[in-house]
Amino acid sequence: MAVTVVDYQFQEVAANTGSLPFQISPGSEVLLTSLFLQINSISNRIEIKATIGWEAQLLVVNIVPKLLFRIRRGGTGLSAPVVFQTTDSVFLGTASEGPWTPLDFTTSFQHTENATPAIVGTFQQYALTVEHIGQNVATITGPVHLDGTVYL
Amino acid sequence: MQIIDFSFQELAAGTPPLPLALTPNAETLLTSIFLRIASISNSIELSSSVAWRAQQPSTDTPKLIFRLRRSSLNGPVVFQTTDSVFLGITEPDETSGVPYDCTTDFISTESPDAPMVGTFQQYFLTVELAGSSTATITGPINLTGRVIGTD
Repeated sequence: MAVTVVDYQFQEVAANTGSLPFQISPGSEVLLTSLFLQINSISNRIEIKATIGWEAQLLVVNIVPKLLFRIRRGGTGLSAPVVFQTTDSVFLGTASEGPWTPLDFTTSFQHTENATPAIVGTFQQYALTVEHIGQNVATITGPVHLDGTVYL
Repeated sequence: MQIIDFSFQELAAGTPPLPLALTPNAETLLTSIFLRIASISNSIELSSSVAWRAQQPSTDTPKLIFRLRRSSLNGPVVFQTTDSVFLGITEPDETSGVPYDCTTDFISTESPDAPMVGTFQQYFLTVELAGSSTATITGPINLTGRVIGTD
């Protein structure tokens, strides 16, 4: 039987539009964007893909910025379960050799999951968040892209 | 809802014209694809992977600006993102540094404007090397597009 597409949704924010860019400091998880997907069968497979543009700069201390990206399901808050998370980081050099100009990076990832009985018959919210778990500050410059496809 | 169209171009590493040394501050075409737009409610999803190499000596940190343009090489930019790598500094007694091989991936989706409906739209993947650095597109280069919605 052929696979059909039940739903496809996306959110995309270009650099320098909306609330971009914004700085993120260690210790807080920040919502980037979210979307709702229709889940109509226990046989559904849900594919989520994301791309985030960000920037970091070596300032006074030697830092390695680490960004923890999460996909949460069922809401945007900390109580919504994390269905995927991944970390990206970069080496920016040492302060003694600086100063260095800001560097821009692009992080992309994808997540796939099966529908569970609890979410069948609902529009499920999937939220993309970022948390800076390194030191100093990093900037979410954009673009921010999140899309979701539901297959049956 | 269905997949209305699916199209791709892929160049393996070593396939001419790869490797491609980039000229600073010039936008270079990497590849392009055509996609059929059937309805105003369609979603046009474009995803790409590009492999590149940077190496000291370089007077600057390479920043690669990747763009997706529609309809022509001078057409509207539908997506743009930047990737870079820290190479350190070259000491005066050094003639070359360690090459860094990088892969940049991204995905973008847009909704069509009314004039695009019923047409085949061409999407272009380009790269621009910002600043005074050096970098080479080694490949592979992949550009994949799909149109999702109703026919």
